[in-house]
Amino acid sequence: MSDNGHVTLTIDGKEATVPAGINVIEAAKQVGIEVPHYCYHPRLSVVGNCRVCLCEIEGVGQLQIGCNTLVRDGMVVNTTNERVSRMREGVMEFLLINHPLDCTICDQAGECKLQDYAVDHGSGITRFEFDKGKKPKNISWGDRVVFDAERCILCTRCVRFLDEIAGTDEISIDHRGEKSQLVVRGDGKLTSPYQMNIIDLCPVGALTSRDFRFKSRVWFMKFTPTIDTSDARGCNVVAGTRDNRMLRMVPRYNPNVNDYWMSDHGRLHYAFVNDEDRIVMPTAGGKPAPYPVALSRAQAVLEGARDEGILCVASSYMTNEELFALKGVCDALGVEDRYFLLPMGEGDDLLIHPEKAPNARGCRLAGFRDAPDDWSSQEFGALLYVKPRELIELPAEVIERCKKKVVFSLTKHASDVNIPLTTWVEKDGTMVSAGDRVQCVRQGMVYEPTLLTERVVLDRLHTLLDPAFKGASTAVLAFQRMADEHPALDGLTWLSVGLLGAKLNKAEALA
Amino acid sequence: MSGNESKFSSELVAKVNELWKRYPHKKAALIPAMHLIQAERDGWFSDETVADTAALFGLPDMHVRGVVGFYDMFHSEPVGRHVVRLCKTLSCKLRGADGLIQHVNERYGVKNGETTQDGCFTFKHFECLGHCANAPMMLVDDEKHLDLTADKLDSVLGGLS
Repeated sequence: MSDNGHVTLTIDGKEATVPAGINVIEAAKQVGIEVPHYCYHPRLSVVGNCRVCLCEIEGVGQLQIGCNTLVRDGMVVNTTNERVSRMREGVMEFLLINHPLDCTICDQAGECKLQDYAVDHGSGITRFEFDKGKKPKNISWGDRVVFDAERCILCTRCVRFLDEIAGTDEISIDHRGEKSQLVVRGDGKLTSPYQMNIIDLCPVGALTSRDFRFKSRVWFMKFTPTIDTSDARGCNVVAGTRDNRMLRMVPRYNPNVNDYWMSDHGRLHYAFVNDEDRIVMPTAGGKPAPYPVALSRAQAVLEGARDEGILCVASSYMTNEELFALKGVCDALGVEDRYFLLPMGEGDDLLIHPEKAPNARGCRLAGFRDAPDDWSSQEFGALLYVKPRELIELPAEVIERCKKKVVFSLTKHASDVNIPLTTWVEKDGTMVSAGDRVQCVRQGMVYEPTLLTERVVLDRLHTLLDPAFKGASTAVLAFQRMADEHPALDGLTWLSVGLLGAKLNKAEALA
Repeated sequence: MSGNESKFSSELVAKVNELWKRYPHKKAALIPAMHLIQAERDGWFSDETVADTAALFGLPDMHVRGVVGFYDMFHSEPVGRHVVRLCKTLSCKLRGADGLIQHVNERYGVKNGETTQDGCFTFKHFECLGHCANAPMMLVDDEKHLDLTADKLDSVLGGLS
């Protein structure tokens, strides 16, 4: 039965062949059975302190915790029978004895494992008639994490994350028994650049995000799988939006990129999406102009500048589809000076990447060159500029050396034609992250219904310049067209890129 | 590894080295070593002492902090010259520990966890110290005093300097 390092066991009557060395929780997961658990996490060490994953192993007298029981050949596991259910009900009763039951004012409500398991495995009533233990609430652990000691079930996931993954060893448990409480080193403020992951790890409402708390009940929100665009890592995330405003980002599991984690910088990198100062209509000559008017003006500006030369500067925050649309416009105009701006910063060994924009590789794929450190003093007839986010800008003297300007920007930018940008949560598209991975961004909201995405705007401009050109109707079709044309993308489809991304199919020097 | 740079006395480091030989992992010797360390550092663990201990053992300081917090024998606040631990668990309670606690509160002006004004002793209520046959009892530093009465307690505490 056992071969190639696999073992065969029976879980709730289902036969499962799983890799040797995994635990009962993981084995059950592989056959679609969820064993409830709080303290266990696949990437953290096993401590076995919550006791809620108790399972019956036939032939073993006591119930065993699924997290710390490794699979064996011929093992027979029951995760749901009467004995297990009774025991689990008991564990839930203990966990809830001192719990404040303040779900109505708790930010975790709706995505709380304590709520879920109380419904699934609890008895629904309490037999505890005495005063509940009192502990401090609303403790600030710095400007990102807020701690509520009464809600904490002492699973130590946060302690282990900071020890084992982030490496800052900042939290410990003080006292013991019912007095046990988490403490943070020194002045009680966390320092790790990955500290907000403990908010996701916390199975209950003990750790909440200062950025997100009380903004919205999660069941009113829309969740869109996309990627983080704060740096070239492209951590996979779920973007939470409500009423067409972005409210939070949490990491989404991708073993090839970010595992279960993301940096705080990436998580908090979205304020510009909701910026009230964003422009929602193009301007031509400083006056509001509908898209057709602004685009014919842009056409006139750019065609008039052909002889004197045009400088095109792309942004490394653009999607591949937009970059290829911009490339089409440049081709139609015969633009030779094609650059892109890439902000650089500090990186680390875990997830933070020194390139502070998501798609420098896509820019290179579309034929844009890295912006020089020293711009030449060459003068241009016109500038076609897609302005990146706040971190980097084209030097003012370079802009001044261009007679006319067509600028795409999020907020108002003085120019002959100013076209609004959209952010990455407002459109579908692909980007090329570190490690040459093609990953999808997906539309989760619309900032204003009047806005067109850059790809559509650039394709329309392209059609004005070359009436024979027809843009793709959707980002998916644009990607397909791009994949057909470009050897590095050959064979990839929107679906094969999917939720977890795919490698560029041949190693191109894009880094 | 940290022998030469250790902030502790060479005698203490030598004793800890002996302790390490008894266990498969250094970490296993943490608690006996911490008793020695606490004695060398005025009877309590300051943040600095916690950090020095962690450095000696190559552990995260928050791990040592957790051990200090867990065990009542370790102190995270400064203590008096002596530590008086009065048992308040079942047998002692039935034999009058509550009265003795009240007596200490009134006579010496210290409640649970407090230190006398002259810094002579820190008074602590304690869970079972294992001398139920001679209840009530107390531990003064490492010395036990059995079959306590208020008078006996006063003579012991009065003799402390």
